Amino acid sequence: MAPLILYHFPPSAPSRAALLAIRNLNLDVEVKEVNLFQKEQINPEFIKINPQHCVPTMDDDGFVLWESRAIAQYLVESKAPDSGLYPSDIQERALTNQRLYFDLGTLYTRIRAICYPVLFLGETTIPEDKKKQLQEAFEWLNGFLEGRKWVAGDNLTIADLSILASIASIIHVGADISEYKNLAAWYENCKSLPGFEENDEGAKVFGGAVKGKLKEGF
Amino acid sequence: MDFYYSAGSAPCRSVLLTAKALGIELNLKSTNLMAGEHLTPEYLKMNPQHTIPTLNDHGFSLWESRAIMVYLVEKYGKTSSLYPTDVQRRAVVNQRLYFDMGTLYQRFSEYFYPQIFAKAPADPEKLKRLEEAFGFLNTFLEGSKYAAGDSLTLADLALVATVSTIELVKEFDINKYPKVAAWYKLCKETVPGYDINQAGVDEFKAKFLS
Repeated sequence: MAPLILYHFPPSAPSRAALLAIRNLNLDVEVKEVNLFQKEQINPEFIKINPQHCVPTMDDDGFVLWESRAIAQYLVESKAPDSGLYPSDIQERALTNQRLYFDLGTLYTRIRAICYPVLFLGETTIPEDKKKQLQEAFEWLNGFLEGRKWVAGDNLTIADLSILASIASIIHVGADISEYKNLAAWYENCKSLPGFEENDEGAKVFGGAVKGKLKEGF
Repeated sequence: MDFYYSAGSAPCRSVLLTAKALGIELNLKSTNLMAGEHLTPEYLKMNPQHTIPTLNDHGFSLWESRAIMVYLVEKYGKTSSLYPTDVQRRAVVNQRLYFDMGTLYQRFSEYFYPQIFAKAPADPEKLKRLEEAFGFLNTFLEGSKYAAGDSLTLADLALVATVSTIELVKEFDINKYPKVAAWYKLCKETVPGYDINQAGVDEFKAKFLS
């Protein structure tokens, strides 16, 4: 059987989230870099694989899938359903899904709203209202972690990995999470996860690219 | 099961359609955001993020429409084909659900909401991105009847709530995307209780577009 292929760009948070899932499931993978800064995603060969031309994109022996969170869920369900990374209990699973959608629709969206205009639209400062929106998302996340070690309960799930990829990006842009005690403690716990360093390196490249265009710090 | 919602909201409507398709009776709690009904201490206790829709299933509260849809199938509709058990088919449904949230509905919100809530002028760049998202959906629909294969799934119920809302934007011509237009017509004909969605779309229209 052909190995799992991940089309990946290390600075991209969702792309790193999929790779974190692969590392935490200890799967063999062939990583193929698609450089978004060089617009490699709109090469005709890549569009043939994924018409939405986004990363991450996974190819599992001919089954092609994109959307990082769908990839992570698929990998758990198809390769390691008993790993606990995507719980089988219906309520725990629902909470995991809620956190995954929170990451996409709230946390990562608010991070992206800060970084995208700086990276691609020539902005050189971060507006206060966008910082406030991000802080609000941190507060919610901090609340989710009240009384829990991980974001959806006492066990690690793919929601932690997805959120870790997002949080690492904005930390390396300069955001400070230390006043959100539960969040800061959770981030410390994440440091022992497989793939943490690799994720952090990609996040640093991303953060550096944003910081390089900012007139002043976060 | 209490369901906190607003009929005009697309994500709320997709949950209503799911409940209808599964034959589940929800105890409907219409929640007026303009009146701050989502900011009461009781509501915040249930959902600190104070969003709609929110489901309260005998003390278990859950928000995020697509997470609620999956929960309803897994808890109350185990034999339903709305969320396939085959892992690859399920993965495609999930991909479409995330596409609906992160791309289609998001680009619609970015283009349209500043115009209605902040009276901002239409931004042609944002319209282009919305049109690109419709192009992606059109491509997904090549070769399959429904959004994630040849049978109705949660992906259709989420996407149709979004698409029916976007159709209200007068400068937007859904017929430029023939596969989307054909699929939308099919959904109107075959989604159980589609009139629930239509009623919400009409309410949205009356509130924001008249």
